Amino acid sequence: MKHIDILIIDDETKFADMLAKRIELRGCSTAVCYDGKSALGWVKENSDRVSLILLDLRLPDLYGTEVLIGIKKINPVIPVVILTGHGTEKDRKECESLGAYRFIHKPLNIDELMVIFEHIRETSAC
Amino acid sequence: MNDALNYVNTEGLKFFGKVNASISHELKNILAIISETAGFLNDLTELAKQGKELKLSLLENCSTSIVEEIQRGFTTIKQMNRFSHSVDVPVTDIDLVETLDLMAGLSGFLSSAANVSIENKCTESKTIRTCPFLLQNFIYQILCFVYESTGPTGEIRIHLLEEKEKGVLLTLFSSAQMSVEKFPDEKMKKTAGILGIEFKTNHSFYEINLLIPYAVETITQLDPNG
Repeated sequence: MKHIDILIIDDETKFADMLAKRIELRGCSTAVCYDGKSALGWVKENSDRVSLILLDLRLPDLYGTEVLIGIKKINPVIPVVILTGHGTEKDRKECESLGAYRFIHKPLNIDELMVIFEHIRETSAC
Repeated sequence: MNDALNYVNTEGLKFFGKVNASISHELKNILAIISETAGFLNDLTELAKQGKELKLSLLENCSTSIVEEIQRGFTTIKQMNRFSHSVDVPVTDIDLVETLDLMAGLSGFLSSAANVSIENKCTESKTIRTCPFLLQNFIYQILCFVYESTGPTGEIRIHLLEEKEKGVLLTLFSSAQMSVEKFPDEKMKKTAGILGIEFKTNHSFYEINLLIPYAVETITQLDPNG
């Protein structure tokens, strides 16, 4: 099974697809899920072959924090970066207490994301 | 201040805030897509500078996407404007189909929103004398209640039929089974009471029936000049 560098979980399909294209142009592999339940299903099947998860807080079926808790139950070591349009300081603290690796805002700076990804890749290789 | 007016003010402010929050979320999503698409165009330009072949179809897809998102933004702003003006006058004549259409659009920004279609079986355009803002609040409450059952993949059909001299019979058909034991809740009952809306007792797991009067006496409580 192919390794996936970054799993994108976002219900805004055009945004998620475009972001996946941009990440792939930078030489990384991606997968995309558009809702919380299918994302949790994907992680359950593939938790040992994904390096980073990018998670939107506002999903149609589950709260982003519920998905974060679910991911951490399946595999507590996968780094999850929260990507949000409207997250507050309270949201950031809550996500960090639930084990989020970083909390970043839309619009996304893709270079910032790639720096985070490289850092994760380097530290996990050690 | 009378009870009805007090209710419209307190609940209305919450409703106004909720809708504004969902509009701002929608606009941010639109801008995020445009931002990523512009970023992708930059990426392609950089690759072209390095001698990589530039596929015209990719450029075409990007420009189409930007145009679509700008159109989506204009539609959202138009809806926001119509919604904002609904508080201009406390009581006025409104077109029911237009109001339903606006609320389907605004509630559609919620992540749980189902697809809503409106089928007007009235012989002519139906004008209702009501409090436009409170009626919007009521329709929004009802749609949100149905979305709880349908989720984003579901369907809601709204059917309008005239009941002579009384008003318009509004039927909402849900593609998913609703929790009728929770319907109508206290807030819905209170809002409906002020607007003179009657809950028909023949609602079921898949259908809600409401009679919206052409005009109602109690609505004058909301109009200081009425």
